[in-house]
Amino acid sequence: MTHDEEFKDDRDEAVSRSLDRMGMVEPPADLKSNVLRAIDARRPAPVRIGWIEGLRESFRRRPLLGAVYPFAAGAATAAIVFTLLSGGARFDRTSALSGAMAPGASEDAGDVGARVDDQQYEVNGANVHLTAVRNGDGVLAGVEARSPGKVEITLKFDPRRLRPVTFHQDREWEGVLECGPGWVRIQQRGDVNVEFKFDDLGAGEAPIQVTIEADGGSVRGMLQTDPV
Amino acid sequence: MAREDEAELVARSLEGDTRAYGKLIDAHQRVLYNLALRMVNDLEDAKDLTQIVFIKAYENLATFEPGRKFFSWIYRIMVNESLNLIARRRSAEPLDEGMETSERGPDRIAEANEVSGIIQEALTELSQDYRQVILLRHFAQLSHEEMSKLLEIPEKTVKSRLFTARRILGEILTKRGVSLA
Repeated sequence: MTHDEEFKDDRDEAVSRSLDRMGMVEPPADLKSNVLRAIDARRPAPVRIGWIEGLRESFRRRPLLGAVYPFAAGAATAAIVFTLLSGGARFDRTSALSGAMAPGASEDAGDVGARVDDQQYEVNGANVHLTAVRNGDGVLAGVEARSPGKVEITLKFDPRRLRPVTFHQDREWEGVLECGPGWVRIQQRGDVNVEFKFDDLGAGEAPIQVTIEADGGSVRGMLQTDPV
Repeated sequence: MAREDEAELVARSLEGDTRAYGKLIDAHQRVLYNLALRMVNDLEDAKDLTQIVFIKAYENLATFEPGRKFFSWIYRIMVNESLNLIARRRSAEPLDEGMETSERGPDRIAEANEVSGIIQEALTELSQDYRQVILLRHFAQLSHEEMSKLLEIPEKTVKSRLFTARRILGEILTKRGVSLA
């Protein structure tokens, strides 16, 4: 280190040299692995397994998706991609289902709930409508996008506060659903009308950050999940 | 590591990518561990402190502002945690004789360790403000400007505090028989 410009006298410089001679001590080899192990161990259980399992179950168990939800075998393909995160869930990387979802509202959407947020956005010709409905300890986050091309929608949330339990889409679709702790993302072509149900695990504000990308443009929104 | 790269790694960490957080650990563990060592003067405590800091940083990653330097942010956590640790632990123990050092030949290690031990002890006698500027300048290699931003004090104050800290340190070392020639 060159300190020439900062020394006021020789003694100052000598002390500085003594400090520099102390050198650096190498950190213990297991420091990093200890930290990563601790992080993994402290991750809340619902994030590690529960909510991702819940999403998978939402495809597996029709009642969760609504009364008018027959899976018509062979009609369309819905590929559900579960992103494998280090320290995260350890089940199938990819699950592929064959089926089509008939239009219809989910059971949850039909329940009485208080709309706590409602927003409209426009980006590159895509119109986006975001809604949040609270029903007791549950939150329904709705995303409706009308776009001529490919659409990607990402929801980010605090996994310690919100746990996704079901996913609902109102029409036949062909796309990809990815998810990890604190986020879910769907990709598909054309119009999108999806709804995620979350369990609210705590108190206080828990906004959901929504990013919608369409035809090279993107728009970001924030959905409040509690009444103002 | 560039600020943009750090922001990207933080964003990926927030999405649950612990490999990204591992890269942040790789980038900062050496400096943070050395700062911890000089703060608490104990190898085991320094290791514990550094680990705690990285874990707390991960737990609070959502509060990190992407425009900031990751080191500046995590350093504040380290200062707070070191004060907590110092407050609750037993009196400081000297560094191990066998402490592994880098960038020096084996023939000088014994002598250097002896002087280093004395300097280390002297560092613990400095007040928190003075010790902090010494550590940031000599062990984190920060510039005056970077220290000014990190500590949120004028650059002029950084320089004068650094000068005073070294003067006090010099007096302590002289009293203990360390030649500063």
